[in-house]
Amino acid sequence: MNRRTLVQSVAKFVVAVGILGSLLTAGGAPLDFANRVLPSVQPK
Amino acid sequence: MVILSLTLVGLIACGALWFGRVGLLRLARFPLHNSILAASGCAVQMLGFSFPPSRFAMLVLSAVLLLLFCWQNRRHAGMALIASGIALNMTVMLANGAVMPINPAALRQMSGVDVPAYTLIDGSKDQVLPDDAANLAWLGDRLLLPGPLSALAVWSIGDVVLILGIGRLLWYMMRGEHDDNLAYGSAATPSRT
Repeated sequence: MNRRTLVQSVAKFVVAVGILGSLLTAGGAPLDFANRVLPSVQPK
Repeated sequence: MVILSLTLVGLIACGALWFGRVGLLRLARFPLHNSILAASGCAVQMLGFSFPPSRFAMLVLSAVLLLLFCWQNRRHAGMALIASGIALNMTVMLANGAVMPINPAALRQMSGVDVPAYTLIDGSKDQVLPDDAANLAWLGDRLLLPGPLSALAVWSIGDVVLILGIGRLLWYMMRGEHDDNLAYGSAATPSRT
């Protein structure tokens, strides 16, 4: 595999992962650990 | 949303371990049609959440774009599950004014914090809604993984269906089920003689 083909494959891979990521991000709606800090929330 | 990125990376890593470099190449070269629809659906939804007055309309537009993408690629394995997961999440969000209802008890168990009802959670699609105040509450965020994994995320049924679909699609893409006759890299194409 020459360098140009490799670069093209990497670019296509990034695009494919981006599409799947878009589907997950826009279609999914879990609340995860990254949201644990809740500035608007006062713990009891 | 971090958990979804980690889930996707994990699924791709599993596929890479199973199928090797050929699997990654097949993923890169897989012919998904009208990908701009998926990217636009995501972008439109993010815009909607940045401008709350347009949130409902943008969510509808986002759902249409995403489901149109699924329809355009409906012959691929896993796409029906993906469309179902998206439809379930969009249905419950649209039924609750463009927010995802999250069960207060599940949120407490995940985060260890008691959150007042009707609180919109920053940086998410969620609003804390008791079951009796939410429409289609059973489709909202209320599922937890067992034990200490419960601190990772609160999931909806739609999330589970969507992830199953993405997993199935990835397997289909990386295994080369759509075209078993393709050869990649130095692999030889089987002779037809």
